[in-house]
Amino acid sequence: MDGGGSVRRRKLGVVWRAPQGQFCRRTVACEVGDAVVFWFVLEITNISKVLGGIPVVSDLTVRVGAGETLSVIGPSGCGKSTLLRLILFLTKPDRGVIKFDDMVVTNSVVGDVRRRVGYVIQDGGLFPHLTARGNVTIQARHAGWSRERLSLRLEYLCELTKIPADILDRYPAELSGGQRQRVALMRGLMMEPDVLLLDEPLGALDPMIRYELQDELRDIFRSLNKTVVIVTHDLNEAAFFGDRVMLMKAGRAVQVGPVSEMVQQPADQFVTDFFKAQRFSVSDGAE
Amino acid sequence: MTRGLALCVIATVAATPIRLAGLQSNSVTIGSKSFTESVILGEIAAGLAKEEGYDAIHQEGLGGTRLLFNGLVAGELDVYAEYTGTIFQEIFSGQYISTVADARRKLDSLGIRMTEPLGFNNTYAVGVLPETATRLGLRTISDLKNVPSVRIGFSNEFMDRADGWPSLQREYELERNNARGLDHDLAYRALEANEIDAIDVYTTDAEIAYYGLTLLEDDKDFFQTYFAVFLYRKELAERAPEFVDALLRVEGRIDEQRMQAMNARAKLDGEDETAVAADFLANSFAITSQAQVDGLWHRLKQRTLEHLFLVLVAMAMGISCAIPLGVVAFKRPRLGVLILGAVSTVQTIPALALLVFMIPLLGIYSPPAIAALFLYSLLPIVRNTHAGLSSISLPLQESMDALDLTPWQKLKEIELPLASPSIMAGIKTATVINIGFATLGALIGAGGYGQPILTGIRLDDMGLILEGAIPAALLALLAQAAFGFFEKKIVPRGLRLRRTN
Repeated sequence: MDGGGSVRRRKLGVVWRAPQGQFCRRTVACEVGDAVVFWFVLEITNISKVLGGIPVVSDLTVRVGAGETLSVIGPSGCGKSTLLRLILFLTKPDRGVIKFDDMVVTNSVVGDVRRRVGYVIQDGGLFPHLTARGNVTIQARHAGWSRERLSLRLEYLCELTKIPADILDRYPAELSGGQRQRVALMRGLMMEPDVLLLDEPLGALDPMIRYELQDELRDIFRSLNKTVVIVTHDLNEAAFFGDRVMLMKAGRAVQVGPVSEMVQQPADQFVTDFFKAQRFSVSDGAE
Repeated sequence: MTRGLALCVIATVAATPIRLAGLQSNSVTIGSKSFTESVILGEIAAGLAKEEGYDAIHQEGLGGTRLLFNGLVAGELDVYAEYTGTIFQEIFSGQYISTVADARRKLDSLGIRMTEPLGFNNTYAVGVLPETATRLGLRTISDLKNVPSVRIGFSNEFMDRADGWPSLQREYELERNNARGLDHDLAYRALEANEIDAIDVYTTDAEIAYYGLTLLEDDKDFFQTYFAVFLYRKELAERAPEFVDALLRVEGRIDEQRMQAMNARAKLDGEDETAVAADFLANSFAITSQAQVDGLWHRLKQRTLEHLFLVLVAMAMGISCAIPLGVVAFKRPRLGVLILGAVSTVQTIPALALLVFMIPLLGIYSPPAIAALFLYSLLPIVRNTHAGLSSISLPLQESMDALDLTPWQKLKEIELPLASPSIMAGIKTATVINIGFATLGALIGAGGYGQPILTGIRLDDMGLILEGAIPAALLALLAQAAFGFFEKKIVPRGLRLRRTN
């Protein structure tokens, strides 16, 4: 039902010569002569955002290929969450352009973008007045889905996220932290989005459950072949999920690339220091 | 939420016929001010009307001269007893009307006629306790000037009216700060408790004899004569000619002693005004009427219906107006400042003033009372709706915005349910406040629990005050309990759960 959903329209975005190891094997790309053609789902070009006099995102440029998982990492307040909110237009960039599926994100297309993006935040952001089922199906109900379609989709998602069906009738306050997160993920996936934006999705969980969910989440991302941007403060998690990692500092992207590359060729001292501070060794992140 | 609204509307519609029942052509409506003498005169008029075969509705104890006179001009009332001095000085204040003929002409142009004086002159006087008079050496009003520290308590009406304190103070060159306003019926008690030294009295007040008050001599001949008359609508002569004839027969029949005696019976002996008036009619006109006094339960039921009617209609209007206003205030912050400012300002208007503002627009009885209660219900609901919506946490707001829903869907599905505990609290506050405020409706004839409270204050009858105050308090408690029940229905279950971990 979900396979390859991220590249329904194969319009070629950018023709670009790929350096070695730049993208993962799942990235939609094909070779045309000696050029490699990539399909970028997200193209963020020179965006800046000032909030309350403080530049939270400064002149940031990054592209995310179809089917790729990009981990965004950095110290607190480096602007990683704001980046996701900028993509969803929850906050508007002061400068720069965000393209979603080759479409410039503006007020007029924001509905279209949000429909095609699943957004999951720390602790789930579930609406306390709705049951788990109510939370998951809220958009689909308003989009006029039939009862059969709803229940089929729910059944599929329950299986995917390992949520027993009887839990769906509980309210968020009656769920455990892990269950809340799974339900939030179900809500994010409900409308079959092309892109998943996850903001510290496992931040509020205890280590055991976190470990378990990390495995499950990665399996889900891979099986669905979704484009994912995941924000985390934990380098191990970032390396575990991400085909590439973007390290941010004070609103700027310091380095973007596979973790191994960042360890071997750090862009500057900050990258080295950050890796050291997280007690990271390459073997941790390797599969 | 919708269910709660529907309930209110149903209750409103169900209660409507109660008020409309009284307005038939064979009925005459008599008004009276909120003091015993006026009520007795009203009862006399009502007794006469019944004798002549009309349905008499006596709206007793209404708020004040302005209110009654406007009600008469507007046709809400057919008759009420007024005083000549008040007509010259208060009703036609500043219009240079000094003769009875002028007054009649002016009244006639408003569609109103005036009877000849009923007999007694109930003018103002300044009264003090005999001990105080001796201690401060007070014999005349001029003597007040010699006692700079004298504490004067004048009735609120006297403080404000053109022929009251402002002129008295100028005429006798008294210290402006000596006098403060209070309710006339409370003044006697304040005087007895030695809280104040001098008060204004009406010369037919029963309390003058009861407290043995010394009346200060009006040595500058300041106070006007206040002969009681009936004012009635011109068209009444065609609609109810026998009644008008009967009214005219009262002219000259009530002298000072008689009036003071009737006041004393009603006020000091606690007799019902209806009974006092019936005795007068029996003695003077050989009219035997059954002074029919409703039983306690019947009265309670009637007043509960009236009170509920006021509160429910006002709340239904308030809720259906205030929640949208709160939403707009939240969605458009700049407009919100205006909205919240406006509803806050309304709250600062004293209830009586608000009622008086409403009378030219809505007449008397329940409409202005409902309008006032409606306005008072706005602030708690608007503010709580606004606060409830504002308190939705940023993560939840963004999770909501990230979903592709229309603004209306967001409001209905997410924002209002999340704000519902706060909105319900606002509605609860407004309802309890309004149950209290609605007692003021009695001032303009809207009935309710305020009726016995006002009468009780007037007659210094604690039992009567409690007859209104206790049911009002019980109703407030009941409302509180009912909201506990409704909250379970309206506030989503998920919001009433505590997080399990």
